[in-house]
Order: sequence, then C-alpha cells, then structure tokens
Amino acid sequence: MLAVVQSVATIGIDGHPVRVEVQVGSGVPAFTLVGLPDTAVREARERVRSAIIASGYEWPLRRITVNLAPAGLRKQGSWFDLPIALGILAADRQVDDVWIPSHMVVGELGLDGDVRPVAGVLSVALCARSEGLPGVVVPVSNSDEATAAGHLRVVGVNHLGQFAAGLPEPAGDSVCKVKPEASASDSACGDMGEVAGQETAKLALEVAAAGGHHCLMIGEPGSGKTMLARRVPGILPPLDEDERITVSLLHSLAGVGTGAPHGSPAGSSSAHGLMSHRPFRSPHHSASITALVGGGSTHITPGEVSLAHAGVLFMDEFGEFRPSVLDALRQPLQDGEVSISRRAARVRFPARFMLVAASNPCPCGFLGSTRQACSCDHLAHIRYRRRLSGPLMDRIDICVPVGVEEPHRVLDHEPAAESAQIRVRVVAARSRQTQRQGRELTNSRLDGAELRAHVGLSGKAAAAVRAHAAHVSSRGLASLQKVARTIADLEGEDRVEAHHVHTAWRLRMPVGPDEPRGRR
Amino acid sequence: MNDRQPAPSPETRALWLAIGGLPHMGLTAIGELARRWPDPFEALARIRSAGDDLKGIVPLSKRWEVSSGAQRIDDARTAACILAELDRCGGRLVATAEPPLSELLAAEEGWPPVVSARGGLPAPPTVAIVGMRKASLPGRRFASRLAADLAAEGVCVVSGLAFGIDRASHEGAVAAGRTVAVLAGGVARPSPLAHIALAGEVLRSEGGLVSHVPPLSDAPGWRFPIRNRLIAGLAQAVVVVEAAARGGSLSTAAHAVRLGRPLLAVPGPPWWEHSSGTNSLLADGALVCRDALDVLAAIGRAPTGRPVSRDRPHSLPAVEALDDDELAVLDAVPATPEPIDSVARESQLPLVTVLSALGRLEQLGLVEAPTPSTVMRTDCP
Repeated sequence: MLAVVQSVATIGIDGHPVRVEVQVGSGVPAFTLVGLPDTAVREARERVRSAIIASGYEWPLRRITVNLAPAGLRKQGSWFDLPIALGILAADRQVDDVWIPSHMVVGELGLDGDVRPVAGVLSVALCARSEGLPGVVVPVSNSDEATAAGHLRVVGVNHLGQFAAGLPEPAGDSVCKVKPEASASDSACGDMGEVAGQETAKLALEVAAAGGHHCLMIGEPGSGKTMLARRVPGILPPLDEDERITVSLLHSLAGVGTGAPHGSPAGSSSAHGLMSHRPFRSPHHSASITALVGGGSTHITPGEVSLAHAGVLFMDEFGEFRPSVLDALRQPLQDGEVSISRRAARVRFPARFMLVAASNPCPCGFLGSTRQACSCDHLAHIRYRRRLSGPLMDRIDICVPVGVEEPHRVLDHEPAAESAQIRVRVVAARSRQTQRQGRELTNSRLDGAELRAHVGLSGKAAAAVRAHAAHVSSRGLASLQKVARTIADLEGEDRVEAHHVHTAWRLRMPVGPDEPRGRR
Repeated sequence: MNDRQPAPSPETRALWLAIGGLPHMGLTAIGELARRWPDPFEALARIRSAGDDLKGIVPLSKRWEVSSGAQRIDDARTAACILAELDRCGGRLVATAEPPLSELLAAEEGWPPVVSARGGLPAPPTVAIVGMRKASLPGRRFASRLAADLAAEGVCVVSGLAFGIDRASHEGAVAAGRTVAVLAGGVARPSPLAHIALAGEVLRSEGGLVSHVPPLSDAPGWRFPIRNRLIAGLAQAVVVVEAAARGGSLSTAAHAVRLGRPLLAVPGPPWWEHSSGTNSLLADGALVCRDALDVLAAIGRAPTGRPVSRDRPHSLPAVEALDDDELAVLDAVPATPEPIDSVARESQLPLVTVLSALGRLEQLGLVEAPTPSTVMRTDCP
C-alpha cells in the first residue's frame, strides 16, 4: 500500500516541494529511508517508530520503504519526521487520509509523540501557496508563522495522537489572513527623543536613514553610540509587504523568533506572525565570517548581514572586527545579497542592510574629549586610524559625530517623541527619491551614470563640489554628492544647492592621519 | 678638548659612536670617559671590565648591562663597519671640539668627542623648536611659521624629526632656510620611518642630520631624553611650542635650563592640555614666545632682511566672501576644540545652517575638525 505526503526542502530561502512516498508491503519487517537524507533525516527512523508506538498506534511489522522525492535534492533537518510518520500510518490505513494530498506537512517528533517546533516554517507555507495547496500542517507553536504567509488553512498540531480522528480542526481563526498593518509604535527599539542632546548625531542619522547611507559613529566611550544606533530602526520607513515576508523568512530560517526585533531564542516564535519591525542586529566584534555572512557545511543558514536585511546592522567597535570579517562585508554592501557556496549547495540570501558602525576616536577613547585627556601616543592614533580605512570605509558615506552631553542636560532631559516626526521626514525624502529615480532606489545606491542623471546640482553647488574635489578621492566625491542629494531631498528641494554640499562636506568621513594638509 | 690626540685615526674616532650606542650611555658619560681615557680602545676596555673606575660615569645598576653591550663590540671590525656605513649614506664623523660645533657645545659641558652627521652642520645662530608629537593643528601651524620666519632670518632651526611640532618646524624651515634634525637613532636610518622623506627634504635644503650613535642604530625609547640634551646643546635658545603636563619636550626644556640656554615657551589657554606644559614652563620663568621677534631677542639678534612683523594682520582673505550666518558661526567657534552641538547652541542658528556654514568654513580653511565631533578655529592668534 502506497501513501504520499507533501513536504518541503529548503535551499537558501526558497522552499522546494518534496514528496514523501511510503510503501508498506509484505516481506521481512524492515524500515529503509532513501532519497539523499542527511543525518538528522536518517535519524527520523528511530523517532518515528517510537512516536507512533507512544501515540497509541500500531507499528506495522512489515517491510516499510520511505522515499524522499526528488531523490537528487538534498534533504536536511528534522521536519520530515511528521510527514514520514503520517505516511506510514496512512499506508497502513491507521489514519484517515483524505486530507493528505491537499496539505503540506512538516514537524519534528519527540519519542513520546509530541510534535515539536522547527525553523523555517514560513518558507514551507509560502511553498505551499506557490504549489497551490490549500493547507499546511505545522507544529502548533509555528502556526502563527505559517499564518503570516496568508490565504492558507494552517493546522497546528502538538501530538501525533491528534490524527487518529482525521485532520484536527485549526484552533480559532480557521482561514488565515494577512495580519493587519503592523503598528507604527516602535516601543521595542526606543525613541530618539529619549536621547538627551546629540542634535548633530541625530541629524546625521536622519540623513543616513533618508538616503540609505551607511554611516560610522565616532565618539568616546559612554557617549551614547549604542543608544542612538538602537533607535535607528524606528526612524526608517515601515517595512513594506515584500520586505516583511523576506525578513520573516530569513529569521524563520535562522530559527530566530519573528516579531521581536531583537531576536528571541531559536525556535520560539512569537504571536506576531510576520516581522513588523525593521531588524536590528548587533554582532559582537569577535564574530566569525560565517556568523556574519552565513554558512554552514550542509545546512546553510543566513548570517547577521541577512538577518539585518531591510534593517540595521550595528557593528560596535568597528575597528576591532577581524580584517577578514570586514572584507567579507564588501560583497553584501555592494550587491545587497550574499552568495554562499558550499559542497552541498550554492545559495543566495538577501542582505540589503543599513550599516551603522561605531568606533572610539582612538584606542583609549578620549581623543578630543573635554572630560579626560587622551593617553595614547601618536603612533597608536595612526595605527588605529589605518585600521579604519581601506575599501570598506569608502562605502561608508556619513560620519556621525557623537559628543558627550553636559551632565545637566542629561539629568534635566525630558523624553519626547521624536522618532515619529523624523520618520515622516525620512519617508517623504525616500518617496522623492523613488519618484525621481523611477524605482525604489535610495540615493546611496546610485551608480556613476545614475548619480549624474539625478543629482541635479545648481551652478553654485557644482562649484562647491569642485572646490571640495581637491581633498577627496573620486569615490569620496560621489558620496559627497549622494549625501548632498539626500539632504536636499529631506528639505524637499529639487535642486541641490551649495549649502547642501557644505552640510554634506561637514558630515563626510574623516580622512587619514591628520598631518598638516598645507603649509602657509 | 684639551686631551685631544694630535691625529687620531678615523677608526679610533668611529669607536666613540659605538660607545654612544651602548645601552643607557648618556652624553655626559661619554664626555667623562673621553676626558679620563682619550683613547676609545682604553675606554672600551674599562667598560668591559666594569670596574670601580667607572664610578661617576655609569651607575652601578646599569654597569652590567653596559659592559655586556661593550663585550659585543669587536673594536677594529665595529669601527670599520661604522666607517663603511657612514660612507655609504654620505655621512661623516665630526669632532665636537672643532668649529662649527665647538661654537655651540662648550667643552666643559661634557659632550662626546665625536658625532656623526649627514649634510650641513648646525652653525650659529641656532634655535631649537620642540613640542608634542600629538600637537594640535594650530600648534603645528604656529611652529611651521615660526621656523620659516627664523630660517628666513638666517637662523638654523634644530629639532628632532619626530611627529607633530618637530615635523612642522622642519617643514617650515626647509621652505625658507636651513634646519638640522638631531636623531635618537643612526644617521643612515632616520627614525621614525614615516619621516624618511622629510629627512630627505632636510638634506636637500642644505640642512643636516646629526646623531651620536652608530649610523645603523635604531631609536630605543630610553635614548630620546639623551638625544634631547644634544638638541638643547646645539641650540642657542630652545622654544617649546606645545607640551602636555609631562613629556619629552619638557626634558629638552630642562636640559636647556641646565645648559644655560634661553628657554622660551608659547603660551596657551589654561584649559587646554596642549598648553599645560608650556604654561607651567612660563610660570617657572621661561620667556614668552609670541613670534620670531621674541626668539631673536632671546639670542640677541636684531631682525634683518625681511621684516618680521609682530602685528601681522590675521590673514583671512576669505572673510569678505562669508555671509551673515557663516560669520555668526565663525564667531561661535573657539580657538580650542569645541563640540559641534555647543557651537550650534552658541550661535543660536538652526543646526542645518550651522553644519552647512561649518562645511564652508572648513573648505576655506578657517575651521578645522581635530576630531569628528569637535571643531576649532585654525587662524593662529
């Protein structure tokens, strides 16, 4: 007797349909599993057998052959437990199988028959939708995530025994719909108004957010760099529908809970369904290349750059990251995605994030401080600044100066809501960019020809750019014009005027070790 | 020096450099060795034996280290090496007891009998300009201008080729006249490495490099205070432009006082770390250095040739081109680093206007950003 259960294998963020074919026939009792399974899939045999017995079914003492088709596709992970178990029970006619052809099934089994949550359920649901299946069966704690894909009948189960009486009823809302617009309240990431003073830093971050520019914050320890960076997702425009799905998919694949912007523990999915906030990721400076860009030898998972997709990648102590790790950032910064090649597969993950790097001004952190004298020697400064230079820094357009606020300002500070107003301005500036550039292309991503076409310098502004040209590289010149364009967009101006260029110059990245630039 | 040999061979004289290169060997110690044992072979033998006859020259605690360093010197071969290296880099041995050095280094002050040099030698009038490595931009500008003014007056500017004020002084002087760099390492290997090009410029402008150690020596940290004494000795007056509360330039200043050379210091605001050292020198009786005129007065020379004007007008050619907002912002920027936020509050203009004005002022060179979050005026007071 043959039974077929639909399931999914993931490559990167894409789900590919997999047919779990189970044949229970006569012969010497045996249980074979074929179809390019990895270790976790192969171990399903033990879990499935134990779970079937523990759930009150009977283990068929016959010859059982399970094939995962297509056989050429590598299958990974533990979520084939449930489809295999259901296939065996259906082939042995122990459960009702009318619903099986119309559902996609994933879930890990415990030895006691419990159905346990797995990572990546959203891509299962999306795959089911694209295959035209009306429903999915998923572990109950993943059902919200599956619901987020929309227009699917999502059946959450928590025990294998539930299938004895046919397909369990979906709890509550039977037909799922897309979650209503995420609330704009970004209580999770805090409000810019909670930061006392720092007007220049806030303005620089507003410009960076409006143009999608990568930025580097420089300020002494304790000046509030992390506090400011955490509030950047709150001034970026709300996620659109596509972005929400992609972001949720990546988080689902990485097993990082969706919904909460700072990432709940793996496997635990919140009740939010789709991610509603822009992600904020802050990898520690000891992070490896794999942790940052993603990887893994057989099971390829997204790294921090992809988890920060459409959000903010905050890299504190930027100069302390290993040079090889920083080099690995160049591809995602350039292309907006990472491609990872391994023996098992070659996958691409989207990684279009806004880089917010932070650094102390010098090794001791107090260069130029009004509170404490800098204790490093001159060579240490040069070495430190050299670490913060090179091709990666060329891709950072804006330097955010973070000063130290006077104590009385911090103490007397009344938190006010600022993020919402900033976001309104940022959204307006971005829509001007979309309108002018013809598609959703932020100023930071304009290439040479597009920049020339869209920058719209007035005569005086062009003269100002020329005046600055002597002091910067050609890439620096391009980023000066892009930032000037963004500042003009924020002010709602069609043309870039000279004062926009001057402001952009003030927000530029500092250049190498400061020796006297010219003699008088 | 009264014990001078009638015609010491170059090999013999080269050995004094080898002795100079021994660990913790000070200039006065070499001078005293040369006074007691005019033959360096004899002096080396005494150092190797580390006996009590080194009393008053090498302290007991350092005697073992110095003597084991001397064990490694193979007299004839070391001397030949030193001469060969000097030859290769175009350097030479110079006796301190002969002009022009004898006009600067008095014999009774205790100097090594021989130093090495490349290019020109310092000759009166000389002035040393020293200061912090981590100097501020206005400090470096001031040093550079002071050095240029003095060099134009025919003064030989002596400094140490280090980062910061030293570099600025050499740069200012090479454009207008002569300058001499006194090195803590050898003359064939000017340190720091980053300033090799600068050393080349110094040589091209008929300036020179001077050192009391073998030509290929490196520059260990302990040798800088020793080198500073040579700077003070070769100068008829020492000017400290910027100095923190502690640091190398204060050691040069102390040597100048001990050697009886006039000491000048550039005053600065009391709330600024860059002027804490110079201000305390002034409080202790150093002369005020406002410009080249003060320095020329200290070495007893009247300005000649190109007039050096004390009331030089502030060279702000760009001021007329500024609009009202930019002028208001310029007024709000102080002469020492100030956070941008507080400049914006001071000027009472919108932040965007302030940033744009600062960008313009930076472009015109009227304002500098020593760190990303601070700005300061660049025009020298």
